Amino acid sequence: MKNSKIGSIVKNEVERSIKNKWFVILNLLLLVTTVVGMNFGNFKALLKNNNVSFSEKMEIYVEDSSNLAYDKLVEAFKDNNDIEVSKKQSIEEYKNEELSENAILLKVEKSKTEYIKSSLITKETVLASYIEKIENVLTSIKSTMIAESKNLTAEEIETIKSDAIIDRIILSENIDTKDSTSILQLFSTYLIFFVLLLCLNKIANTISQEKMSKSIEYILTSITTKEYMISKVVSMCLIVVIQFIFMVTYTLIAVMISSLFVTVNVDVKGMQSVDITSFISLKTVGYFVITFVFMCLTTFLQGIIQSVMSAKTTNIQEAGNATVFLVTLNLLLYTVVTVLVSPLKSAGVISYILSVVPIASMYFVPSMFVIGQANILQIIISLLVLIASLPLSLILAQKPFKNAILDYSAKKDKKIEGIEKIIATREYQERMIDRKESSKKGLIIGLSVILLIILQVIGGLLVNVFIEPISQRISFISKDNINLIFMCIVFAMSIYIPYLILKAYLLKEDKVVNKTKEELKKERKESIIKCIKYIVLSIPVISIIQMICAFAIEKIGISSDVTEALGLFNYTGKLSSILVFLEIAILPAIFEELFIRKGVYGVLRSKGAIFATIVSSIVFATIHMNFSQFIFAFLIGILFAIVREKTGKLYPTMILHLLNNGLAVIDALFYNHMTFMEIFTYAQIILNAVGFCILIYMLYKKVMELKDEESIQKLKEQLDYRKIKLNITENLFVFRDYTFFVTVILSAVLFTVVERIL
Amino acid sequence: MLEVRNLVKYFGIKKVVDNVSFKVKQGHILGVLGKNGAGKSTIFRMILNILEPDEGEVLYNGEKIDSKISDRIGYLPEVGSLIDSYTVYEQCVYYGKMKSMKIEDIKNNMFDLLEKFGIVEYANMKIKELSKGNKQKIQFIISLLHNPDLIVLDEPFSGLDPVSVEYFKNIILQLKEQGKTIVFSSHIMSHVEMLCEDVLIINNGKVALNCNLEEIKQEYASKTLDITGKISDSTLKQIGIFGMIEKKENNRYIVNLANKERIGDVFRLLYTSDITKFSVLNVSLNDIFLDKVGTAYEE
Repeated sequence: MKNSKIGSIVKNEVERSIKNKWFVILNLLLLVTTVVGMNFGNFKALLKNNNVSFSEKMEIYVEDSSNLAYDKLVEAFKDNNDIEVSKKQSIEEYKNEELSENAILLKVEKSKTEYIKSSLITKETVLASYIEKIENVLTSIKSTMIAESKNLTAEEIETIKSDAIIDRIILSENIDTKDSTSILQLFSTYLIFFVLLLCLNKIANTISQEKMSKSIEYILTSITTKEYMISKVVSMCLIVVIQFIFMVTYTLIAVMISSLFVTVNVDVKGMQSVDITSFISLKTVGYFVITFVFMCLTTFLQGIIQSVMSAKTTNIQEAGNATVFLVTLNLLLYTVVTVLVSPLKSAGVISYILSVVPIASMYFVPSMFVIGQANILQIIISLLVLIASLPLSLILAQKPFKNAILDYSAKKDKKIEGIEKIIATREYQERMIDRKESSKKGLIIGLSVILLIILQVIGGLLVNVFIEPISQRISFISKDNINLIFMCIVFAMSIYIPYLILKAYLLKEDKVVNKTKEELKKERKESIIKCIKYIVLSIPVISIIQMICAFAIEKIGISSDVTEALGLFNYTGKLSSILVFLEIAILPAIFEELFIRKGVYGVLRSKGAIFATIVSSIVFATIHMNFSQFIFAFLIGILFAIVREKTGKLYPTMILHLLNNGLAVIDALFYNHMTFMEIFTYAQIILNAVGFCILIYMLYKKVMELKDEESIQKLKEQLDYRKIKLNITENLFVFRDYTFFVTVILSAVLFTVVERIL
Repeated sequence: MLEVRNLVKYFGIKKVVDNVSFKVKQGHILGVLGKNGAGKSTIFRMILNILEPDEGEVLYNGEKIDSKISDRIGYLPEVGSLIDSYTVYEQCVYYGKMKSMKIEDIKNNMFDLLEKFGIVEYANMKIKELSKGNKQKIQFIISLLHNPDLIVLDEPFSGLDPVSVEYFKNIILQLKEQGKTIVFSSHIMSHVEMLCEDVLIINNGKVALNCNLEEIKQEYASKTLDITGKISDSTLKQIGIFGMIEKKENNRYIVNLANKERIGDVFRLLYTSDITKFSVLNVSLNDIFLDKVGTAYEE
């Protein structure tokens, strides 16, 4: 009674998948691709010879002073009915007249050094194949001329030109022709792979469908889960068998057609064929039997694995994803087998090991057998291992399958006593949402940084590749300047595009409108004063950071001079100076500030000011892709983030960034203008001194304030508030997303690569 | 006769079904009532051998339920168990085969039942084209397809309009007349009240109440009196000896007697008073639930 139930499931499954219209469409496609694939050369030859051309007749006028080319050309274009070759005394007269679109003027002369010299005139472009043919003819004439002059035969010349021939001899019985075996080998792996994909997809679909529709509830009242699983796997195997028989039939049909070509169109040039008598030999039959056996058993094994994976799915998306593992595995094995197993080289140890491993053996054993690299013992061992793996996997799969198929809940929480109560609280759920949001922020920042790095690297490569051809065409700008212009564009784009991603996630600040004009004016004035104050205060801090970094880097022993590394000293001339200033000073000031201080900092600001400061500084340091700049950029990033937080505006940091980068560029560009440099240095010193004085004054004021107890209390409160905002464990969820790690790894790799290149 | 003995089921560390036992006699209807997540469906799944109980056993006519016996059981799962891409007929064939039926029988029974429900035109329609109520009807048909002796219906009325509920109710009553044993569950009390003789109330996986509905109603109802009229304080005092008196507006009194034998005594005491209404209250299942479990039943 049970057997009849299993039988009815199998029957239903097989019926439904064969009656499916997609099965029919797919098989028709398979038939066509098999026939065309195996007769590709023949079809091509056939089409070529019955070429129906819709173009008008071409005329080739030849002025032949060598007296060799004309005859050969006529012979070469004999097959092409739409081309007429005619000889002319001089083509000069045709050149002056209105030249028809279908005319080719060819002038062939003898030459002492080149043996033969020719020129070809057309009104517009003509088919490349004609030109190729003419070229071939001329080359062959050249060969004959060389042969004559050196007393060699034409055959000898051909031998000199041709590739070396390697004959491979395999010392075993029943060697088929090389062609048929390689076709078989290639085709068989493709065939197995294809059928298997189909089958896996099918089993995944049917199990998830029955689980998701809860049909399983009803079916399991009649049979056990074990019987259900087996019935599904068996039906899959049956579908594979049917599909396999179909495909063998298609292959035979293709071979038949191939042999027909030979018998019917004997005179057609370029025909190849698989000889049908050599195709149906002991070896091919053996091959099909081995393939069939291995395929059925492996399908059963993979079906079990797939059924367990599909049983775990709870929605359509998961059902689709459940096949990814086995499909990837099969694709990998398929690729490996095509690379490792080849009739042109003997099999390595890896091939022999993999041919014993279940699942892999399905690909390796048949293809190794067909090229005569697998013996009977090896096949038997592989088969035994495969058969032994079946009951084992069936036993192992039982429990997870049973547990999974009746479990409809998408995701389980860890089983801790009293977890329900914690889950039921609003705080817990809010925290979970918050974590997800944090993780999303990490993903967005990580993605944008990856995009930035990739864009920069690709942009740099493109500039390198195209700089030569472009600079050849544009003469009024020097190559260096063109390079600089492109680098500027690449730099700006590579930062602006990732910024756009971040911008989509930036919270829009609510603008308070209910204020009078005067109040707004006053506010603006205050904010400008504040910004100036912070700019002036920051200048000495930057200087201090520079000094610290210079000292530290010297101690570590890394070349610290970035300007030297970038080759700034090489640029002279007005235009290039401006371009360098643009690339090093202005563009980073605008775009890096937009990306880091507005984008990254803005996205993370809701996670707390300190957290946003640290992360944005790390990202800022990362995108410099330079180890010696890393520490400096990190410290500067912290400073800039503080300025951004305090002023609430973007332009102060832009100005600071411009100043910092600009000074370095000016240093490098004007190092030989003594007077300018002197004035410049003084200006720097004065700015620093002023800033330093104000800084000390501010600190002094703060210290004096601290004597007051009230203000100490206030400061303490402020610190406490920040501590709450920091809340490290929660914020670390920003990094839980894998993209951040990918970013770090990618930039680390690029660090080393870029350093190596520089 | 279906007999469930001391069923226990754990999901992880959570005890979902806690020592549940009950019996259903041949030709009787048992209504299983409980909130969502009380464990009704889990009990049903264990009856049908989909889940294995951690402790206890389920016997049908003294035999353990296996795949052979399950051919005589009809089951309507809680959630739609139909496959969207199948037609109604294909679905019936697929499930009928699971009950060891022959194709001819499946066809005949299916059309009989479709005619009974008045939806013959759906026979060749795909499941996905049907409305929720019609899907429920098809599920019901499938559970009756193999003419089972025991019918287990998990939430048969969910997603149905009142007319269809009435229709289902009539069919269930017809089935009962044919001598079928029916177990059905609901989270709505009125559905249980209107249909079944026996009731099983499940609360947090435990049996809160298992009894004959008529008997328990008799027992509860006869104890409560609803009296309206002008009653003197002395009479009230005398009545107070027999039970608790609850005073309401407009001279209305609810009297909870300790013993139902006292109804006559109370009636006799009142004969001098000016009474406009005297009735023995008909208690709803909800009141019984409240009394037994301690909290009101929430649907």
